Amino acid sequence: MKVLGVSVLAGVVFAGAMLTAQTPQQPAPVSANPLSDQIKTYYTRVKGYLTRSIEMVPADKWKWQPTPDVRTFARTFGHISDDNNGACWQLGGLSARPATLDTPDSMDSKAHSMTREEVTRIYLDSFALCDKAFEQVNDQNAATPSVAGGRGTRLGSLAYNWAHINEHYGNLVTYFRLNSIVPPSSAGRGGF
Amino acid sequence: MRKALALILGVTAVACSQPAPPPAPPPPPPSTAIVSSLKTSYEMVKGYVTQAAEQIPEAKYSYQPTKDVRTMGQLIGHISDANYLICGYSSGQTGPGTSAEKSLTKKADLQKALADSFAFCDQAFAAMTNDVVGGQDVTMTVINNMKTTRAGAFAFNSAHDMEHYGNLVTYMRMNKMVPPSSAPPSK
Repeated sequence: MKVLGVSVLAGVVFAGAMLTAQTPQQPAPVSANPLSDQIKTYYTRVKGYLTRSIEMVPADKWKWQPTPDVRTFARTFGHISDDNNGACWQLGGLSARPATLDTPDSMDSKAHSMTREEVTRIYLDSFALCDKAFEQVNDQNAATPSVAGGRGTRLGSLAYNWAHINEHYGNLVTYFRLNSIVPPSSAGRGGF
Repeated sequence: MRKALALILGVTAVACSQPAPPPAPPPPPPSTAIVSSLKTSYEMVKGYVTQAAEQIPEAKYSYQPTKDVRTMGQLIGHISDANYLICGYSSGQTGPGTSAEKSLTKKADLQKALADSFAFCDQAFAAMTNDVVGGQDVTMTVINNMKTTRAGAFAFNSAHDMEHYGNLVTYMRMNKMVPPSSAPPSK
């Protein structure tokens, strides 16, 4: 009995050692929040594209617009800041929504009266706020009512904002291409 | 001894005479909150893109603001193809296997392809419950082998559609058209 037990134990140890040798890379740990983590991953990706975008706009194109009926580069970044702040200020822990940047809805927009550095700071702050908001969402509370109001659940409000800023990234892609600039999402990746 | 027996019998009788506990209430229906909130974004972009495809005149389907980007028609085709692909990842179903972006140019054909692709996504969405939103890993092989949940794939599809709707908005404005998302609400 003792011999059998030792043999089984040795076999298990040997098999385990072989398995370890054959699988040098362990599978990635399963997230405790697969859905909310994923939405955050997607959001983080477009945040990266947008952050890169604001750096890429040439100085002489800051107030450029492809046609008078659409926002300039500067106003688009101001509008994205407003989107982020509107969706994230409550979940992000602020007591009041930050002042809007892209107002009025014209060339008199505040985004045009501020310096590029000021707009950029507010823009980056708005993403930092949404980062904080994402920290307040997990798969257990994702379906609870959104404190941002009007967009369903906590996760739904952040997913909506992600989709919305993706729309404006789509605007920017065309702006860049019209200026013979390759947008960040097309640098080194496929059709999507 | 008699007393003990009587006590046991008494307790047994009382226990037997207790009414049966009421049946447990039925479990609440599964929450649809997450799916519903993700569907809100999807329905919004579906409406915008469908309306844009209708608004754009046939002659402008070949318009492109610069040679490095898709034409209006190719964008509609690309959205259709992506709907099949990404909603297919989510549902386990497969689309027609052809590329509307590469094979279609006529407005009516592209509108049909778009409508069919959204119907495909509608079916996939209808089959989704909160029980599966986060519980099933899907690999979107065409998109850098991106790992996702089923609901994550839906959300990704909506955001992807929104990105290309953002392209269309600029194209439309450059052609003096008001995109659906900026049009006054119909009365």
